[in-house]
Amino acid sequence: MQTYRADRVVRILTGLVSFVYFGAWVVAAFVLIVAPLLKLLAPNVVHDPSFRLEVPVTLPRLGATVVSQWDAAPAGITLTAVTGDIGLPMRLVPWSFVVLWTALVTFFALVLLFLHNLRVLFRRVREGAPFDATNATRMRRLGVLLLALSVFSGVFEFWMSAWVTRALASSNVPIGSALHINWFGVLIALVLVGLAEVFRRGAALEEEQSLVV
Amino acid sequence: MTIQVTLDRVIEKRGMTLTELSERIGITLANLSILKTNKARAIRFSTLEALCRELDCQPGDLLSYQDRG
Repeated sequence: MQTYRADRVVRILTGLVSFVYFGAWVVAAFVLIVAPLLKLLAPNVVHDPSFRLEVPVTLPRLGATVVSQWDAAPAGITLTAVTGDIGLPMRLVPWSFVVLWTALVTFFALVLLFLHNLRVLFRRVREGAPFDATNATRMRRLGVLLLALSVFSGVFEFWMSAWVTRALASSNVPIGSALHINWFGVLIALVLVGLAEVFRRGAALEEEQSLVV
Repeated sequence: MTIQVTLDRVIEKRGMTLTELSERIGITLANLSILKTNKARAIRFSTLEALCRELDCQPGDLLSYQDRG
């Protein structure tokens, strides 16, 4: 009997996903455990860890037309929105460290679960047995995790930016808050859930085929 | 299933083993076992033809319908 050997692209992608998965574990361990420990043990040596937050910035000339090398008479290009990054020290207020750390734990948990499922799925494809019921469930799980990741990131950053905007209201920093959901991620999540159903049907067909003599 | 495969009875009558039959008709022993133990969902005409040829029987000798109503 000839043994199944996966396509080179599948083998490379499986290796790549495994590399990213273990890399994510290393990054998660560093961000969630090593960095806070280092800060605790050597507070003067290590900088305060900060949380990067993207916020909309209000500029005085927002809405103005922009002169460009393609358009000498300003008519076409209009500056409508500007966003910027704000670095929030994690020890800003007593509860902020707990909130930010918990958010990071949730984020990494979702990412690691997603990568774990993706890695197992690729391994099953490499072994030549992609159509089984567990892979269909796994693919649906990938979609749900991606959806959760997109919504969680968007809602948490919106909540954080609203909090920062309120805190900086008396200053002259022209930032605001806006809900940014990663709609591309949501779309991919829906595609994955749909594909999971195709997989489930494929698995049922393959099982039936194996019992045809 | 209400369709029962009576392969084991026919094999016994012919004094043949399952391994010998699998070699003669070119079907794996695992697939013949699926058929013999009534786990098969369907049987190909080509398989039925090969079985009838080697066992010198009719399709009706290999299959029976049992009403469970």
